[in-house]
Amino acid sequence: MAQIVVRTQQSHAAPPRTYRQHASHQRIRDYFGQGIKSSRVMSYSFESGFLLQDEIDRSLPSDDEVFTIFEPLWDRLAGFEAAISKGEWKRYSDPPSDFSLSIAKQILERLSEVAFFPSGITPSAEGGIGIYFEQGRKYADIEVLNSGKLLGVTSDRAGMIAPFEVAPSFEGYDKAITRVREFFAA
Amino acid sequence: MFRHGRPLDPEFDSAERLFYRFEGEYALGASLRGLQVRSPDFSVNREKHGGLAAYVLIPNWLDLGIAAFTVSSIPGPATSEGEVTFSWRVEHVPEENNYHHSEIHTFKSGVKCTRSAQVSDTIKKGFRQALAEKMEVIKICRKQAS
Repeated sequence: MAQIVVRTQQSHAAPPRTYRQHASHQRIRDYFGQGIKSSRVMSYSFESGFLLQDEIDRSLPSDDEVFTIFEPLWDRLAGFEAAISKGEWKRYSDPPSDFSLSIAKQILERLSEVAFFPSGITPSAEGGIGIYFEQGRKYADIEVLNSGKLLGVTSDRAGMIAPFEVAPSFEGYDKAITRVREFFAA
Repeated sequence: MFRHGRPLDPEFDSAERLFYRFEGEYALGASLRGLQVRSPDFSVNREKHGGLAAYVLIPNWLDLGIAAFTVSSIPGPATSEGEVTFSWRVEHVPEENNYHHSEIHTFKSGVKCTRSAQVSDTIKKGFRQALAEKMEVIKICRKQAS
């Protein structure tokens, strides 16, 4: 039995924002897009419905794989926080604010829930945190600025650059993640 | 690199290289990410008049990386949803201890922007990414990451 985490409108304070989905292998692929490892498969039962493990593409990441990929990203965020709290921020850019660290954590948490993997996290030269994605020539990022603004961009690195605003809400984060995911899946 | 009374030179050839100092982990020859570019204005050093790339690290930034780009790769004008046109231009701003110091400025309907809030967020975001993609790392950053 397995479960797939999908996008819902519930808040982070709510119980797991998941539901069991009757789905075939192809439906999973249709939902998440070819070539992108972006569905999280869990092994416990929930509500009704069943999905056999062997129906799921073996290449889809397990919880352990998701953890392995996200652990260094969490560590990096923790490193930023530790440096700031100890007064040891060594960069010339402004350190990320409590606000930008908090929002970056929420977005990272959401990304781990849907198993959509960032390539890295970096302080922004503008002051804030950037979560970026790279695959081949394609690039995208979601940037949380100390000013309170959230912005994203997708680029094929061949002239097609599409910046966008991200609403400061869980729905906004989900929309941004979906937009980036669809960009890479296209 | 000292000015020594040399005059301001407003002329930039499109092929002239500009040098930008940055923080972050990049390989030699890589392009930057927009996340590493500042806006609406930021310092660079120009190559003309014997400007070496390393001058952009003097005096306080010796451990940072250097990315190079040409004047012609500065993005062209962009129009926001409100039909406001933004453009960018490099200006020579010589300093006594850094004659090659220059600045990239953002203009809103032809007027220089001095505050970030004057520039459309998405225009700024697009500009930073577009320029970053034209920047080539010629010296890696050796600064210890926080």
